[in-house]
Amino acid sequence: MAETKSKLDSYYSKHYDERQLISRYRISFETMWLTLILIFISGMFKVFYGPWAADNTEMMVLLSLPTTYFAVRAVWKGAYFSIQQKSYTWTIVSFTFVGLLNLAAFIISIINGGTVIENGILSENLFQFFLALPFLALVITYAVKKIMSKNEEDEEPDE
Amino acid sequence: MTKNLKIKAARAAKDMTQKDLAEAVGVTRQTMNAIEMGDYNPTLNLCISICKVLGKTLDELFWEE
Repeated sequence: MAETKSKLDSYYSKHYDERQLISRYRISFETMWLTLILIFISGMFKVFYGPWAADNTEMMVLLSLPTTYFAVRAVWKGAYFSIQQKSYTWTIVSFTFVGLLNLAAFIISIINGGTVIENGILSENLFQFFLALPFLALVITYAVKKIMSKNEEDEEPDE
Repeated sequence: MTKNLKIKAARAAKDMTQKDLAEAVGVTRQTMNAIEMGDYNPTLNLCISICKVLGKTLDELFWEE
């Protein structure tokens, strides 16, 4: 094959197989459009109605939703984890820990009298919630996929 | 796409699991499963790798009448 691969291409080729790469390219493209659409909607809302969230919450929403979309779709398609990764346990445990830690921080702030909406916009308290979202969504998707694909293991009866 | 039962049969004849074959050709088990289920159309390079591991020709595994 002609040497037209960039270093980045070579890196991805080593870590993901051809089906995973195609899935990741497709999902990345969808994620890019989702990001653009969310930024556009956010911008239009601010132009016509004013702010809809605290500054840091707004940033986290615009980062969190596309990240969650990519993670969930990629895990579901079996294209998230590298082929070189023999065990996903450490990744899943650490993602669960980070997700739950941020979710707990959000819940504690609400228990301590924080609110989700302040002065008609999403409050800063939601920052932690949207930080937890991609991690927990990834872990839940992985768990559901794992349970569902048990039937698809090699010893499966012919469907 | 139709299921590729020829790969499954050749794999079974060699007493290999999907995971074994996937590792031998450098892909994930999900990819191997997708090929057998007819959900993914592999590249020629991957077809050749599968044929080499299973000791079959491209015709024997991938030719559809």
